[in-house]
Amino acid sequence: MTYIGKSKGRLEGLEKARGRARYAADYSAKNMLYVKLLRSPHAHAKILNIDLSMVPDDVHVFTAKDLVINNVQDILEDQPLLAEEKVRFLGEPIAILAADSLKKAEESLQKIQVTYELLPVVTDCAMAMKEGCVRVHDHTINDVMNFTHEKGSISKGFAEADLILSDSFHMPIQDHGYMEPEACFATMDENNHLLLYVSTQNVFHDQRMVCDITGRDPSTVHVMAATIGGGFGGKDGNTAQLYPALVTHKTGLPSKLVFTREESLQCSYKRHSADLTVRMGLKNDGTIVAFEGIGFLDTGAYGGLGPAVLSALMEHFAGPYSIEHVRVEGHLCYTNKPVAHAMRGFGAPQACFGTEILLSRAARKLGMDQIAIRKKNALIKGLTAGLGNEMLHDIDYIGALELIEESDFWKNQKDNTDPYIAYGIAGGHQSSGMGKNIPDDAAVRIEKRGDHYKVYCGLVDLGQGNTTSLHAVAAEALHASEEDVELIMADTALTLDCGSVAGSRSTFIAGNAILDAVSALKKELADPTKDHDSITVTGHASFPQGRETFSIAGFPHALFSFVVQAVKLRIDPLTGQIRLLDIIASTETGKVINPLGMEGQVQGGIGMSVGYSLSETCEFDQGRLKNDSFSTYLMPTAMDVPPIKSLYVDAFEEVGPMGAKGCAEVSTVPMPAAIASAIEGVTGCQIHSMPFDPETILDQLMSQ
Amino acid sequence: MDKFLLNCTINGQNISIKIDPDATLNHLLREELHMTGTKLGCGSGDCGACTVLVNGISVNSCIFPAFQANGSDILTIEGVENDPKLSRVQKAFVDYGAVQCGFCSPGMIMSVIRLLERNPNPSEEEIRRGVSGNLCRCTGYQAIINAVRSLLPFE
Repeated sequence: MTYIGKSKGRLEGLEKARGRARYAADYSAKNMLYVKLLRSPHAHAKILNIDLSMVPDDVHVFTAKDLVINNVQDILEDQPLLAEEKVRFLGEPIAILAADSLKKAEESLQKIQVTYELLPVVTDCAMAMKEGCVRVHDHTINDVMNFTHEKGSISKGFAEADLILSDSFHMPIQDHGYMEPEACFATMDENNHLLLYVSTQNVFHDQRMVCDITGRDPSTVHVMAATIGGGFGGKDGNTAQLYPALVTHKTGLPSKLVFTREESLQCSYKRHSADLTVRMGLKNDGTIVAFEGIGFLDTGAYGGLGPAVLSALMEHFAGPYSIEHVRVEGHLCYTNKPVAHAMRGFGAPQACFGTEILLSRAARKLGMDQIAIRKKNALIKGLTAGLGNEMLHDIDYIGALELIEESDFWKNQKDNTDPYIAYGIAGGHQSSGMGKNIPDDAAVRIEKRGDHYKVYCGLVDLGQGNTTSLHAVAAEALHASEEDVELIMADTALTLDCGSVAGSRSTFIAGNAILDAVSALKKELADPTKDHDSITVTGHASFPQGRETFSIAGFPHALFSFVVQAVKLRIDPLTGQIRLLDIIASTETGKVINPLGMEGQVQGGIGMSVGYSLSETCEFDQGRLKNDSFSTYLMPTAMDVPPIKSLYVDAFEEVGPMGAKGCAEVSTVPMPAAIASAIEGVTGCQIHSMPFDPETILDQLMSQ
Repeated sequence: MDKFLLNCTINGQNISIKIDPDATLNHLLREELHMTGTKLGCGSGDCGACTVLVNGISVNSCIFPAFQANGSDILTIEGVENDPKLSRVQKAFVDYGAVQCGFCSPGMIMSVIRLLERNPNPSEEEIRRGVSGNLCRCTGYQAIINAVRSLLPFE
């Protein structure tokens, strides 16, 4: 192979490093209107009246009445684009203002008078689930979706166990923290079509939503992804694109909306906080015989992708292990907070945390090696996971564990003499694809003109590097030089719908569609009656699906990637502060197409989870985010993330493009549990919540 | 409000422009001069995506008053590629995987240029400290450290 398995920097890297790449906020035009949103100052209230009479004549203002359909397309269809009768979270948009200067648009926000009748604020899952609690949505209870499943019989399993451990855990709300705030530039093109440059994860979904709110025909709505400054799940839905789309549709003038960082932190999508209770039964030899996991996810004011996050929590709860008796129970709760949605890991980090902490505790109690206990229970092909779902594809979780076991990092533990230094390890897995019975397809077109190939793919590159990987797959399959292959991505006018860049699916699904197109191209080339200098073909691919079916669509999945991550840390005995010294990661994700790109995904995912573990938490007071800036919402700097070494298992997935599986999300899964286990190992304390609090750790150290 | 006449040099070019006295340097660059290579990530001086050099010193342009740049020599990301000594930082960022989404890259590169100017052979600790004013959400910083180390004389 020429290109596969070789490290390569980003194709578009130099454009970005030179400051020439154009992000949505970098577009502007003459006569452009600046868009601002009037947002609710209350977390839960009835809207009694909206008075627009004081808004200056030269400022455009739009409310729910100006929308053809007032709906954000999502799983539950429960969210209006603009609140009309009720606001359900602080920051929910009520009106759109557009003026010829940002200052004027901002000042005009004060001119709109909204009369509210305040309602009690539903602050968390515990309150939401209480009998008689005020409803966030009148027509449905706050426990908006729930799921239970039992494999085998846990009462039998726990009766057989020699050791039973159980505990409860809380995981906070995390913000995506992409460096680029949400943004969209809208204009009318020369054909009077609405043209949008968006920071998005799915241009075709954007197009459908724009058609809903404006009533336009899809052929007159052209959506292109600008260069995207990170998404991590948070740009897979309604962000900043629909408001300027409406303004330009109504006025004919170009318009732009860029969220402030405060808006992004207070109002945009979040990772679901989780309240978990986990119980695990083991035999003295380390075999896990029974597992029970109960989880409550706070989905905020609207469902968003919450139902799918709930199913991912259920599917991953029992970990990458084969356990005979498993019961899982999950609840998705409405509260008066911003919408929790997709965020890198999508329920799997929440599923992993309590389970891996209990497994590490069990190993210590049973006097077993941390890697040995995981190897003993590891899933392999043909065994069934927590929902009784059969693992249909090759799995090498054991290989990932052995890479760590054989590393100097892990072996050097025995030489450590500092009592405040500890090692922690955790494993995890992550599905890829959208899951059972959810459309999961892609179509890619290839145009051959002489020796030059144009590959049209409808997926967005959020910054994770799928363009570079797909380019390598195309060049490899076409036996072409890299210079002769050009990739055109994410343009509703030029490319075909490939679905969302989500679920670690994009390289897999588009890679397979490219391979299908290339085989169609080869058939054409084998036909001597065809013109070989000008050929256009389309290739299709569908994600493989799991065999079983459950009451909620979206699971099980057929494909999973596996990781093991270990950390070395030191706790300052005077302050309780945790200092991470070193991290090693081992990943099984099929064949690695671009090792440099994959290392970046592993290290980036770990960096994000270091923040999740040590400092990142959205703190709400009656629905108001208390830490709505980067000086109070603390993401890790280069001084907080230690050196990260990334290893990968030499594997090959039969149904993957060139043997690859998805790898972008799995890296975020186990690090919080690895850090927690190290802290528990050195202090003897028990971790129950994140981020890990130095004061609690210090108390535990003092009491020893 | 009376406009302020600002005279400065940006990437070697003399600029004379009337600005609002409360305008930030970031506003001047992005909105008035349409030099969009410099990014705006937070508007409060916390993330470093807007970093430029004013008389060789790195500043967060989103909180730096434009009038304060009067008479000074400003280097932005757009001026980096013309200088062979500085543009190798950009190439190293790409080759070592330090550019992912790229939104932090212009500011991060300006901070690295400033770091190497002050300390041509920094230790890993010093590199981490040198870029600690610039947040990156994609890389976990390892690739950025690797890129900077590749530029050091004894690596």
